[in-house]
Parts: sequence; C-alpha cells; structure tokens
Amino acid sequence: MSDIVQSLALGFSVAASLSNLWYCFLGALIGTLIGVLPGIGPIATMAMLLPLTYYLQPTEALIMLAGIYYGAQYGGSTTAVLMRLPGESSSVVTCLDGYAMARKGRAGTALATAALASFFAGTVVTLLIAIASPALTELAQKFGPAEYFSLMALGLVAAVVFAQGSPLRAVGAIFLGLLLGLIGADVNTGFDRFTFDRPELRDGIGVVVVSMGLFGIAEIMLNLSNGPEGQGERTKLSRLWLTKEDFRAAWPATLRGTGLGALLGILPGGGAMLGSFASYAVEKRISSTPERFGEGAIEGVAGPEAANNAGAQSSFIPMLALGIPGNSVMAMMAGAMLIHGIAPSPNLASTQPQLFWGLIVSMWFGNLMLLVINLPLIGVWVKLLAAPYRMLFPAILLFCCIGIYTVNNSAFEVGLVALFGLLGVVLAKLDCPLAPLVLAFILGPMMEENLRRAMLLSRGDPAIFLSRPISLGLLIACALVVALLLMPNFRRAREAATEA
Amino acid sequence: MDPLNDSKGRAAVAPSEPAPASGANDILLGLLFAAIGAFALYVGRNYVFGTTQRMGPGFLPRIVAGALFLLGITLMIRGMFARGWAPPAIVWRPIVLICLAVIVFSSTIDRLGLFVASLLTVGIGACAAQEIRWKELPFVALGLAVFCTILFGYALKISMPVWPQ
Repeated sequence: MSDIVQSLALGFSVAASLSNLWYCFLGALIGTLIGVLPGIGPIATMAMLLPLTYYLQPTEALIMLAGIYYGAQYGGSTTAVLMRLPGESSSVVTCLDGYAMARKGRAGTALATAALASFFAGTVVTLLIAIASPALTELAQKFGPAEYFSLMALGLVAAVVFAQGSPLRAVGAIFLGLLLGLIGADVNTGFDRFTFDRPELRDGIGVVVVSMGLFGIAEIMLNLSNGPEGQGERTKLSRLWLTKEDFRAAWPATLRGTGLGALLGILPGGGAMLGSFASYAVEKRISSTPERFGEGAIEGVAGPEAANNAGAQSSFIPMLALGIPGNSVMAMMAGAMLIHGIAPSPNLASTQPQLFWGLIVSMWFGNLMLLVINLPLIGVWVKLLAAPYRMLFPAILLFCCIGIYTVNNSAFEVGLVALFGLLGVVLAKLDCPLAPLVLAFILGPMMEENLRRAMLLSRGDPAIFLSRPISLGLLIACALVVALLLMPNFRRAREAATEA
Repeated sequence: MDPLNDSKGRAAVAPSEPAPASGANDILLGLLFAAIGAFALYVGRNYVFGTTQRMGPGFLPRIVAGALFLLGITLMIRGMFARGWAPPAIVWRPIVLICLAVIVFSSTIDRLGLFVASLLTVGIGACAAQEIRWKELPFVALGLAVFCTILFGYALKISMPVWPQ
C-alpha cells in the first residue's frame, strides 16, 4: 500500500511541475479545439498534433499527447450533444440522449453532465491504474511468447464479438488487417513481403497512415456524400448546472458506467467504445422508465460518458504494463514513445519511474483540466461549431496531409493515405466494421513474432499454448467469448446494443 | 431510430437495417475479400513456407490470405441466399476529388513545397463539397495555405520544404 502512495507521490511531483502542467493544459485545450470539429476523432487529432510534441522532453510530450487524447474525446462528446455528430465511435451513444436533451433546451446540462461524469470516471480509474499496474507488471514477468500470443488472440476474438453488425464481416476485417500488417520485411529473415519493390514499404505501413486513411480521410468523404442533411442541426445552449433531480438520476449511472468502462477498457481491443455501448444498454435495461431513453434521459448521457472516459484511460493499462497497445490510440502513443527513444515494455515502471508515474498522475490532471477548460468555454465551442462544414473540411483535409507528412517526411505515405481513405469508404459502405481491422493490423506483427518464437521453443508443437497455465486460461476465455456469441440471448442483446 | 427498443422475442432482423440490402453488401464485400486474398496468394506464391518449428516468411501470409479468400467466398454464398439486390448508393464526386487532393499533396510537397501544395490540395479538395462557392474558394485556399505555412513552416519550424526548390 505504501508503495502505491509513494509512487503516486512521485507521480504528483512530476506531473505538478509547472512545465508539465502547462503541457497538460495545452494538450487538453488544443485537443478539445480540434476534436470539437465535426468528423475528427481522437486518432485524427493526435496524428495531426503529433508534430507539436517532437521538440519536447519525452515526459512532457507524452503528457501533452494524453491531454490531447482526453481533449479530443471530450470534444467528440460536445459535437454529439450539440449537433448529433459523434466525433468518434465512443460518443455515438451520447448522441441519442444528449442530442434529445439539447433539443429540449438542456444542452448545457447535458454537457455539464458529460464533463462531470468523465471527471469522476477519470479520477477512479487513475487510482485503479496506480493500484493495478504493479501487480500486472509482476504478472507480465511470467509472460512468455505463448502467453502474449494468446492474450492478443483474445483481443481479436473480443473485437469480433463487440463489433457492429455481422460477426462474419468482422472476421473478414480481422484477416484483412492481419494481411496488411504482414507487409514489409520479415523480422526473422529480412525477406521482403508484399513490398512491390518499394523501399518505403520495407518497414511496413505506419499505424498513423492506416488510421488516418480509414478514419480521417474516409470520414470526410462519407460526410460529403451524405449531403447537408447528414450534418445535423445546431441547437442553442442553456444553463449549465444540474438540478437536484438530475444529480440523483446521474450519479448511480456514472458509478456503473465507470465500472463497466474500466473493465472493458482493459481488454486489448476494448478501449472507450465498448464501455459506452454496454453502459447505455445496462442503463436502459435497469431503468424503471426505459421509455425516457432516446427522449433525453440524463442517465443515458452520464453512464456512457463515464464509461468512455474510464475505458479510454484503462486502455493505458495493457500498454503500460505489458507493452501491448490495445487500440489505435495506444498504438499512436507507443509510436510517440518510440520517437522519443522509449520502448513500451513491462519494465517501463522500473526503468523510467518518473515517466511512468508522471504519466499516470497527469491523466488525472488532464481530466481536471478538461473540467476547468470545458465548463467555462462551452460557449466558445458552440461558436466554433457555427462554422459551416464546407469551410471546415478543406482545413481538416490539409491538416491530415501535413500531419502524415511530418511523421516521416515521406510523400509516399501521404499517397498511401489516399488509398486507405478509399478502402475505408468502400468498407464503410459495405457495412464492414473498421475497428477490428485496425486492431488486427496493430497486433498482427506482434502476434506473428510471438507465435514463431513460441513454436521455436516448443520445437513445432502447438501444445505449448495449452500446457502453460496462463496461456490456457486466456484461450479458454477466447472459447467462452465465442460461445457467448452462439447463445441466442447474447446475440440479441449484442445486436440491440451495437445497432445504436 | 430507437435501436435499443424491445428486443424481447423479436426475430434477429435488426429494424434499422433493411434486410434486402445485406445480400448485395455480403456479395460485394465477399468479392473484395476474395480478390484481395487471391491477389496476396498470387504475389506470395514463392515465399518460403517453412515448418511449424521454423516458420518461413511465407507461413503466415499464406494462411491469412487463404483464410481471407475462403471467408470472402463464404460471404458471397451467404449473400446469394439473402433476398433482394440493393447495392449501397455511392456518390463518387467527393470520393474521387478528396483522393485526388491527397495524391496531389503527396506528389507536390517535396518539389513545390508546403505553400503551393497546400494551395493545390485545398483548391481541389474544396471542389468536393456539395455546393461549391466559387467566390469563396480562392480565399479559403489562400487563407489556409498562408496559415499552415506560417504555423508549420515558421512557428513550429517543422523540417519540410516550404517554397519551390
């Protein structure tokens, strides 16, 4: 226990330094500013702003990026409430009741609820990370290649189950993602695979390129082809504060949302989205007045918002403790760490305690900043939203191009983004979920490496995955998750929840 | 659009998704997956497969591409059994123009620099809008190009060509 207090104290001393506080504030502010623009999610925001952090110290850079992430996440909720335009998948459910509240003239209350619920969830999960990380790091010492492989397999299976629509399409998305991840020189032999004699492809395709294309550029195309009616109506702002009844309805939902979000966020492939959908489904199921949902129920805002923030934060756990980025945002964080010469690994807490604990505590500061920035500035964001999309999207397009170019100074990668944008539009139009594809793309190369290592150790005997207890447990979890999918009751609940 | 509405005892057909459309979507998506899988199998036909103990560079590519191909075929078969044929409506102009704008940025940035590349990208990209306002467009393009040149080229001093070389 005293270890945790000591570590947190160290973290506080790092995070509360004037320069780190400043970068945390700056990150949250700029993140919100960009994230509030329609159609820009956290991934696009982070990729665009990554160059801003190149010249900072590693700790400052990561703290600022974390701030950008939270800011963008919150910015997405703001557009969801005010314009029915979710900036990213995790605020899709916020649209339902948040926008309904806004139309009833309660936009201010909805936004304040979102900010407060997010702050509460952020505080709880920061503590959770501090408590769980050392234990997980210890567990990670027992992880060999077989365990890593099984854990990542569990992540992919979970991504299929929780994806929207038909599971078969999600499985296809996984295979396509794995295949794209194989592009580049083979790690063991240096043999070029699918590089088509382009030297730029030898290192593989960057996560930023894939996610910017599939999410950033494709989103612009989809928004433009949906026409003006797809861009949502704007609503007026109202008083901010919550009434007593609002509080009474919102806090249990916040509590449940925090728990669900934190739990589901730890899963590789989980992240912020899963929790928000699950929380909405739960709130609606246990409510005594389910007919209010969709008509502006405050629980339908508080629960999912708490859950998506909790999930966003607990998705740091697999990366910090095991070195596995569980979603594309974390992959981008891992990329930023590599740029600063830090390899994400289980040893991070012992080799770089200042950075590790500083980052964890600054997550809490980041949430505090959001509260401080957003409640007074909601009026400003509303004004920003008044800019018409035809003026905004060229700027978004240009920032995406510049953002990609600055990562490696590679014009070739910018061209690839166009290709992935095209792929993203086609897949979206054919109802193929994109999140499993990106996850498989991220995990694929790591899975291959660990699979080959495990099979080398076992002399080609696949029984190694079943004979090691942790690996066996993870594979049993995989089987259970698949079995869940075959149960009619679960299927129906899944269809209902993911159709939102 | 109340997707979480009563799911008790209803058939598995989701209310918001028109059932006939999924037949076309399954067939087209299956075709895409099968084509990519077959292409990858063809390109990687000479990659060394290896053994389970010492996997060659072709081990996973062949398994994954093969699986993608088979899954594509499965999706196509499923789509053929679904009723109706209603492929998704695709508006081509924004898709083509946005792709073109990005490609133009990628092919001009190294030689012509940030300012000119920005001007061209915004100029082409802005034409993807539903209604183009010709009087507004030059100002948007010029304004963004100047803003980005100052921000990225001078204020942040990011190393990239700013002017034509």
